[in-house]
Amino acid sequence: MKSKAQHEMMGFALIIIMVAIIGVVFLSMSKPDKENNQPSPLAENFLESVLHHTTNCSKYSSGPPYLQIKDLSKICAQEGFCNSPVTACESLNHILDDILNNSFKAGVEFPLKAYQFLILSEGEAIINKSIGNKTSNSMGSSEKLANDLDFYLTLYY
Amino acid sequence: MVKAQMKIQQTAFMLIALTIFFALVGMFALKMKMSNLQETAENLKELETQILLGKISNSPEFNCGESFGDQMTNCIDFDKAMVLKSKASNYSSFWGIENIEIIRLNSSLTEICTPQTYPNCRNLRILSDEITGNFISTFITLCRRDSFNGNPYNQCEIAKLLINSE
Repeated sequence: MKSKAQHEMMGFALIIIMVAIIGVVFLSMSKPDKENNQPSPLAENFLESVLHHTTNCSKYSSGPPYLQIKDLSKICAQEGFCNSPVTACESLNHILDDILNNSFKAGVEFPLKAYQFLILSEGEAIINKSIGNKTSNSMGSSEKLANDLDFYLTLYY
Repeated sequence: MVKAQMKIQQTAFMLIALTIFFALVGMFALKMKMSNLQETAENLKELETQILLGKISNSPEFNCGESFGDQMTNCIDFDKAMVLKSKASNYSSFWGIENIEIIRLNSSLTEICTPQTYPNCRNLRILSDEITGNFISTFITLCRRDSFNGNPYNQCEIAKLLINSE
């Protein structure tokens, strides 16, 4: 009789444990993971401002008007020049390095662990700048220009 | 007697197990709700920050309007901001903030903006010369009219807008 009751209790405890485990698994699965690459207003404002940044590349041979980054990117995609013999892509690289270094501090000791800045022309990367070690927690933004030029900034926290 | 005792013990164990189980479920539910609340609070704070920054950068006192070609969002007219600095006393309680600072990201510039150093300066502090306490920031487009050999042109650059909220 005692043994039967013990078996009953064991069975009951087993059921409780199983239901608890199933419950925990279900709850952890039903909680949505933080979505990767959520929209970031900071990245959006950065891209918006970068596009309008005036470079020192002249629209003509020299002097004003000067090209904005969105125009220089277009010329870079066409393998054109900034102020000959400096190519548009070399100049764009240099300007973006300066802007990104002064805008973001990324690394293990900072809240921002890494970032990636990309300019794609017809799906092909003409500029790809990546700093730090990427994590799974990312936020970003993109700007698509009419002439198949896409700007992306992803921030990894 | 033994059988009755066993039955009571069995019921007691069952009640304890059920209580523990529901307590666990309750704790998980509470934790989930709390984490959602925290996330909602963070999102609201971020939204509030962006609204405040947007309100400042898009206010007529700062905004570029169509002076530099197309209408741009978060575009600040550097000349307007510089003029506003000289009238800071009129705006000390207008936005309900302590200070507004514009930082140019050009590493070759170091000076604080004054009528003497403008436009070759880095930091423009508008409402006061002090920046203390908490601040929030975003990127903006900072534009002004410049000239080269007498030819005027638009000079826009990326900059940071800082708002001192304390």
